Amino acid sequence: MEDKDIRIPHENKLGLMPVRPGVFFALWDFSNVRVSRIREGEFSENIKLRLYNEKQKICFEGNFPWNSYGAYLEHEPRAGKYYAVLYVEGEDGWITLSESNMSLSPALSGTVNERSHASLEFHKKKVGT
Amino acid sequence: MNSRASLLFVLHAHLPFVNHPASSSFLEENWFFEAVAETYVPLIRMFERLAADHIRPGITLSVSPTLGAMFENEELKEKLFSYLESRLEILGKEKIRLKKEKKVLKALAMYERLYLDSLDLLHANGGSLIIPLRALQRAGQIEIITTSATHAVLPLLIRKEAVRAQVAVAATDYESRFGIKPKGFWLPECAYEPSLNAYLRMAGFKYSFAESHSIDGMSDKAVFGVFSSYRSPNGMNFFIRDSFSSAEVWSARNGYPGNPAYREFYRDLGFDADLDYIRPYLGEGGTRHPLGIKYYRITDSSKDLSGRDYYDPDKAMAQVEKDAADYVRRRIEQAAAVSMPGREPLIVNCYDAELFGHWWFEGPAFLENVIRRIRKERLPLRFVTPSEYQAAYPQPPELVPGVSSWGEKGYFEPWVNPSNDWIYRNLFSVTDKMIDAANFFKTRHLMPLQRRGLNQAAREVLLAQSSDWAFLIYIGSHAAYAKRRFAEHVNSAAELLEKSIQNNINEQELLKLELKNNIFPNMDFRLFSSPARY
Repeated sequence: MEDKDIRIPHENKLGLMPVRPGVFFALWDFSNVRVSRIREGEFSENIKLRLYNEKQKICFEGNFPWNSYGAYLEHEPRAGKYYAVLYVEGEDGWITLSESNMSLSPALSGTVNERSHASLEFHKKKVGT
Repeated sequence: MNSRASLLFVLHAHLPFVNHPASSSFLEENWFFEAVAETYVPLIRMFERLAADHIRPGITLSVSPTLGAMFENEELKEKLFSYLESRLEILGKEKIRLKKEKKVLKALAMYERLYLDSLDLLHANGGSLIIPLRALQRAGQIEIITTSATHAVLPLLIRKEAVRAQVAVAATDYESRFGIKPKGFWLPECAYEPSLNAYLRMAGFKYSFAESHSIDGMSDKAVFGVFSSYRSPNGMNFFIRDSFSSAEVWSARNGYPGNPAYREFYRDLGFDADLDYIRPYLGEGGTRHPLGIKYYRITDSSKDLSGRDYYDPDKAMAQVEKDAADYVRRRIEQAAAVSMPGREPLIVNCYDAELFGHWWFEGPAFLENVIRRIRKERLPLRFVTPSEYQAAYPQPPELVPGVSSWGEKGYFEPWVNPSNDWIYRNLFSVTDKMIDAANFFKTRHLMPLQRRGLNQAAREVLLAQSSDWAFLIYIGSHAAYAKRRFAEHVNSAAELLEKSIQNNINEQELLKLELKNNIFPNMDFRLFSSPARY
């Protein structure tokens, strides 16, 4: 099975996950109807993603191929609540399609070396089998 | 300066749920068998020995619901007995093969005792390790806590309904297994974000744990640094892991486990012996894999694995003595340097339990030596459980830890990176479907088969959310298995949800899934419904 080919009925949706300070991972999906309309050229093949902080200030904006289904959104590493909005471009300009969950960005603390790596999983990763 | 300190030692025991009843010997099931023989039984035996000598271990043990389910799975119990008997069979052959190699005879005898000990304990308890663990907790020797239902990294679940289900199922599972309500919750991968507090409290949990850097930059509130617990405004208590002392034990390079006298993990009979000789013990695939019998010591980790000397259990135990003495000396010095008038500093060490015995073979002996040494030498240290510490200091300072994890680089990169991020689209989608179905069906009359289908779909969604799949894909270890497992759970859940909606469930297919993924027997799909509607 291909990694991105698990068969589930899709809907328009957008999710946001913290990765590290200054980086979120956004993932999205479209309904089958929306996919057909994009394929028929009714909308542009690129979607726009914006990341907003809780004061509605845009902290990131970027265009991505509609069928990449995921993107890393980089922003100034400032702790706080963020959400993303997904737009598609039609004949009348950009329209809002989905809004994500609110997600918390971690605060940047110390250097990588100062932060602990307690997990045994990290041990396994470093030593390797 | 403090004359006395409390040590809080947390061992987190977890394995993903691996159960393949259709196969007589499945490679990934060995994770469980190895961990039983090398970690869980040695730890239980150690706790029992200490208790028999009237020394209370005071260790906190986290047993994940997936591991708990495997402890009580009847087919896995049978396979576990077979595994242990097969190890004794190999050792019998090895004694003949190596009868002139005097340097390995002590190690051979050691392994024989190890596997016989597991068999004895399992025979005495009907094959389940839950029974001795429950007895140890009831006797006040240890405190057992739980973690999310399938070890999902909770800050990555996106949907709060999924967080609530992971936490609520864990609480119910614990109560059914240990006969009391759980107090403590181990956050998988120590992954924390503040919105979890509400869900933990809602499920009845009283305390949890967070990483040391979760309180960085909070010096105004974290007045005691990592040496105290803290309490969130909603009453959730947090113990903060001390990364400094934890690294001494954990680090394979700079910590105790890397000592040249200790057993070398990666040099294993499964790779050293002739293939024909060990083939009967390699299972259905017949490919080489570790057999758990390792004759060499680390010797010099900078050199190739071939440059290893034979392991000497007596010399390793002598090193354990030194390391345990060094560990307690450092803790006394660490506590003495902390200024906390009116209270004892608390030093919190948290580890994956499997480090003790499986990865670091001498780990259980080290821990036993530390506990006995503190008692014997009347050292100004004492092991406490979280509940005991809370009873002693019921009003900790108020603080909400920051978003963090104990993974590589301190946040969430091991579980969200370009190697594995594709899983989340599918997970997000099937979780949403589960929530929609729970909201739709929760007040409707359901046919029994429909209800079973929805409950099994909920199990499959929970299993898909396990942190293990993303991690195994990331490190490239058993990645094909992890991808397959993830896809199977997502597809099974999606199909069951579709068929439940159509009321068109094939009972035979459902039964097969129920028998294979037979975790959480009391699963109620309505746990996935949105809180306002439940």
